[in-house]
Amino acid sequence: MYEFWGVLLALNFVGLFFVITFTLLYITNRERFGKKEGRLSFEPKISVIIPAYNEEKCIEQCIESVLRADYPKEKLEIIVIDDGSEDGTYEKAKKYEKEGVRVYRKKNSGKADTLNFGIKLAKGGIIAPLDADSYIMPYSIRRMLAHFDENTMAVASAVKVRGARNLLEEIQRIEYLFALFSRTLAKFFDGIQVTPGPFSMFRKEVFEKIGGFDTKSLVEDQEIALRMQKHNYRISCSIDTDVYTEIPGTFRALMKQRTRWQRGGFWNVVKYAHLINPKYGDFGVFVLPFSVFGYFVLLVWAALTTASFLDRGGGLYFHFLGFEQFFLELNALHLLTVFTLLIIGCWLYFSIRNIFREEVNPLMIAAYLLVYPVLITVFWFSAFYKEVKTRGGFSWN
Amino acid sequence: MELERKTSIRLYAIALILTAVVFLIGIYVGNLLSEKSLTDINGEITDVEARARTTQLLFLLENSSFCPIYGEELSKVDTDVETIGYKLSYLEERNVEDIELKKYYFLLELDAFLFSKRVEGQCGGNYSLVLYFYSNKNCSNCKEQGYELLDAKKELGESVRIYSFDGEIGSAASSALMKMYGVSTYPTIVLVGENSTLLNFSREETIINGIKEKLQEKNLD
Repeated sequence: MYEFWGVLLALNFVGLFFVITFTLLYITNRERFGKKEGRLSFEPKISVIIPAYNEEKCIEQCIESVLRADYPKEKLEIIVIDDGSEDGTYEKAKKYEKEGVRVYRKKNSGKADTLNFGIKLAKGGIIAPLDADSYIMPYSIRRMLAHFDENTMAVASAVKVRGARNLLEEIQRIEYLFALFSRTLAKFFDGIQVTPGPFSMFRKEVFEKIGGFDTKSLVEDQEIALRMQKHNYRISCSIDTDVYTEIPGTFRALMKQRTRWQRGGFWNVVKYAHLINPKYGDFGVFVLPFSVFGYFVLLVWAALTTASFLDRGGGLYFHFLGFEQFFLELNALHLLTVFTLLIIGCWLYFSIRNIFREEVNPLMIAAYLLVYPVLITVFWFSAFYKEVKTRGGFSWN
Repeated sequence: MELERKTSIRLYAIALILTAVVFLIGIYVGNLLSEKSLTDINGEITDVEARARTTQLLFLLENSSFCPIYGEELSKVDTDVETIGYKLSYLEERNVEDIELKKYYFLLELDAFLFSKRVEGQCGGNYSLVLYFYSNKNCSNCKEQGYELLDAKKELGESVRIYSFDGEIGSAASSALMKMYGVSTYPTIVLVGENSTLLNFSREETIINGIKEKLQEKNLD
């Protein structure tokens, strides 16, 4: 890998530049961080749309969380659409019809199409898709609405993970919080790239003007956000709405989810790469290039990880030199990488403890920084394999 | 309502300057660390050289009852020389190189090799001597050959002593040995014996078999 010394240093420079820019962005906007732009008294009619496919275990918790919301019942419409489930999802949802929940059933056609079906039925001025495996807190709706000012077209929620039970889940919990922190920072650049599937809010006119969710995309929540950016629609986000989602508890389930995310994310970035353009301001010159850079770094990381596994040298030298090998190797590249990771680690610790007021073990942050890139590399290989296998075709599984 | 896009040029400019400063500091400190590694190795070479010299002085006494001492000291010196060699090649693969230090190291290697031969002659010894000639410039499979040789060393342990020489850095020690054993291409492995065997690129098994043959020849003598 040292044949690519120059490339690695250049990547390190760009990575460091992004990290420092985000740090400065936080410092210059810390007083506005997470602040609501609108009014807490904003009370439009809302349509919460819950698409569900084989969610009999979670659907009741999801519907009940909306029914418990601190919001006038006459202004809250709940639409559940069973996307051809093969379990008892429909029957369980049906029980809530007497509480005003509208429940529909249709042939399986995927999440995006199901959401579009629900949007057509919705009567509210604000459309709020909610994943059936997620649930909101009583204050979530009001706090999210308070982010709508006259210019805001959508608001992303604060998706979190409750009660991580193992290392894999803890890493995901940290990941979700980090994503939330980064998204809140990206807001200052008007550069939010995802309206999270678990829960987001849109003005209905968004769908009337730019169309519904893309049924071809594997990550439709990112696609719609990028399409909104293309049309120069402002997306805001909240940090205190507390929407909790179910996460994969096993490596196999996580792999399946992330393979889909990687594939979908990659094609979304390709589709909207033309937005890398100064006419889109900070989004076009910084935020989207940062995402593309992220994919590039992941590719390089995957290639180098493979190369280092194939290279026998490291293991052999370790046999003769032991741990002294690592101290010998200390160089500028390592120092800069460690420095960059250290800033990210500090960000993580600071944001989780001081902004989101959650507990986190610093060792878990270290584990996240060390394990996450390896996991991502594995997901990348899996995504690449799946892409080749399906030749770019659409497959949810 | 459509957004009015803005570009935070001032923020990017400050970030760029800070990045450049951090980056340059990183490069500077990184280079200091690399230099320190080379300086430490230089110190190690000097230490080993001093110890080798002491043993060689004892050798001049020509007292065969000292053979166990020579053997023990030689073994220590050889291990240290080898370790320094691994460190130098490891750093070299990572673009940290000091030609003068390498030349100095090759002199130490030559010294250790010649002394091994002399001790072998006077006291015997159940080990085989191997010379490995490589080039970092004009040899596409030298790195691979180095790994095969390391694998062989891993397998054979104490029964083989390997001395590696870069033939293209203008080291007098390398040039003299290459001339002595008729080496003209890279990579070349010389299995030293009464009739030395020259191997071009060889896999681990071939090297091990060759070394074992040399050991057998030696035992028969």
